[in-house]
Amino acid sequence: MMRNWVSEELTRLFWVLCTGGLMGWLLGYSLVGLFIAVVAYLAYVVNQLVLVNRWISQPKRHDIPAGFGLWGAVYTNVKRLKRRSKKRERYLKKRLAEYQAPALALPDAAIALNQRGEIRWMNGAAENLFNLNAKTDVGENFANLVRLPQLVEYLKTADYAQDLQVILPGVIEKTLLIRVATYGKGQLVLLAQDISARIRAEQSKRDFVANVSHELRTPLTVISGYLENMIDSGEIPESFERPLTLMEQQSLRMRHIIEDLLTLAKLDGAKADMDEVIDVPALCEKAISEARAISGEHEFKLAMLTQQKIYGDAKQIHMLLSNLLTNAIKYSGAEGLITISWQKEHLGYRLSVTDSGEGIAPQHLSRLTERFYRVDKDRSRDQGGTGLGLAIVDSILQQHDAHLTVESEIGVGSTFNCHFPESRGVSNNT
Amino acid sequence: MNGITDHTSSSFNADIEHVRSSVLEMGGLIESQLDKAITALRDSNIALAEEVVVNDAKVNRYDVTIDEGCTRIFALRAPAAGDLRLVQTVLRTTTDLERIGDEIKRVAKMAIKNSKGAADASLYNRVEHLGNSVKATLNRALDAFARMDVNAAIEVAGEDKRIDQEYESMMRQLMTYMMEDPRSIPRILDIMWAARSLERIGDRCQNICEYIIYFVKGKDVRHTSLDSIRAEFGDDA
Repeated sequence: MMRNWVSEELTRLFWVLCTGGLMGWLLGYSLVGLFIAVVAYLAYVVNQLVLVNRWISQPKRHDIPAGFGLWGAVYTNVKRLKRRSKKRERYLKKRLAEYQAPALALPDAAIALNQRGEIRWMNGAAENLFNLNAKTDVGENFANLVRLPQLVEYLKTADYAQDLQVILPGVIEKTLLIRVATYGKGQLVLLAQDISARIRAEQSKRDFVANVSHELRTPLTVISGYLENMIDSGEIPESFERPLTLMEQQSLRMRHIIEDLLTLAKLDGAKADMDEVIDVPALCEKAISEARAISGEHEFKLAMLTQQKIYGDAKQIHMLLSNLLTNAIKYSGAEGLITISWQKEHLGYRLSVTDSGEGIAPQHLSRLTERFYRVDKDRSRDQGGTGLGLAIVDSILQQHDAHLTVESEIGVGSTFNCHFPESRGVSNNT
Repeated sequence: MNGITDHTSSSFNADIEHVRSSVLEMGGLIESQLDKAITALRDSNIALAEEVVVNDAKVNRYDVTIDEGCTRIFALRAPAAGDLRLVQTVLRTTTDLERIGDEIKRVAKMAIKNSKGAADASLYNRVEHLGNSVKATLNRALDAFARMDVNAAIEVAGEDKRIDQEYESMMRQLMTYMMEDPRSIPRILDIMWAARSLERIGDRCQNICEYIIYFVKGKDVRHTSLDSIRAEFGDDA
């Protein structure tokens, strides 16, 4: 194709020059004639260039210029180029829409932000939740439109390791779980899930347990009280002695279970404050002396490898120690060694209670903190356990950003480890 | 897109956007303050009310930093025409927001004061209702500021009349209560002050909307009636 145009154009040029030269020769100024012919040809070329440029820059305003030969070929090819590029654009748009479709269809709100915090796109759920407009709000700064102080702060500090829970005010208040993922160069996608229903359900559950326990407590206290009176009065017939004693023991057991349930209900939820300083070594000593009062035969040892204090709720930690020690006494047989240790470890601090009891089989270890879970049902019930001791320990640890691990060997003993994070430690300057 | 970001100088653009974001952050804080104050009043929650009073210092800090930011822009960038109007708008809006913060503090103080007495539920219901209307107005005024949306601004400015009417009818009712039972006068007076603060917040929101219209249309409508504003600018943003 190219060869045709080029030779055609050269042929045209040749004829223009010939004509000019001939005219000039006829008039006696052949060189001038040639010169004028060249100028005329150049003028034509420049004109075409101007038209082409105008057409390319504003294709809608100007018609495609009329050009023959090489110029016509240029126009045709430019048009073809444009059509191909438009087709490609349509194709890419379609693929892009395909990729965005899943995100747009999500029931949870999803919003993509650029590094300046401006909205790049959002789905329908985001429009509804935050009262935005997907078409007109693109480019607006997200924090300007959704002004919740906690969310703005969260986006500012840009630490997205932890999710954020915020309350969205409105006609109906909603609790949202906000998750942010980063990609590219500081770009974000923000997901907001309405967890109000879940929060309400959790609260209902807590309220239910607390209410039921509370309601049961009163009647039980009456029953317990009278049973005690009857037994102490000494006026009961002999045949009633054993039944009444058993009844008293069982109602006492019910009261303990209810107390523990109420404790658990109270612990659920809030984190322990960072205000109170707990002197762990001192607390351990106190717990041990209380344990000695319960069991004379066991030997108790303190191993305080650090004097580190922590932030938290002293009463709760005391309860934690009591529960662990009571368990240790119960499952250590008639006598044995029980040790409390407190030491620094790699990522924080560890409080451990070790006993020399019969140990726990591996299959039970992961289920120990479940409420009412028993390794040996009959035995522990006889010993008056409620089955909630370790659930309470676990709850207390959660409140202190800590967690529990258990090591045990059958016939040797068990160790219950409470791992506290460094953030809970009181620095020595205070 | 909205006339704010077409500037020849991109550093002015960055400066003004930073300041505008601060204003909206301040707005967000004030919205949450208002929410807390109304809840505190309704539930007689002293702790919540005290939180509001303490946080007013934060609001005032925003006022100072935004003022400094704008002064710096004036000094370093010497803005003209539209840019100048924008900085003026920001300054004026900030002042009104700070005053709104003060009114909210007053409402919170009323909540603390009134928590002692046994309150008439219906009275507090009306205050809460007025409070909710004002909350919605504030929210929409700030949205309009964020988008520099003239139509929204005109709409919000129109709603202030409703709030004024609600306030007036509440005043009349409170006065009949006072006449019926003179012993209740001190308590009702406190409620009246809280309602008055809320109504004033509504007025300030209207001011903010007028500033938005001034910025977008280049015309000062601060002392023009709403009807003539609508007639002139109507739906043509």
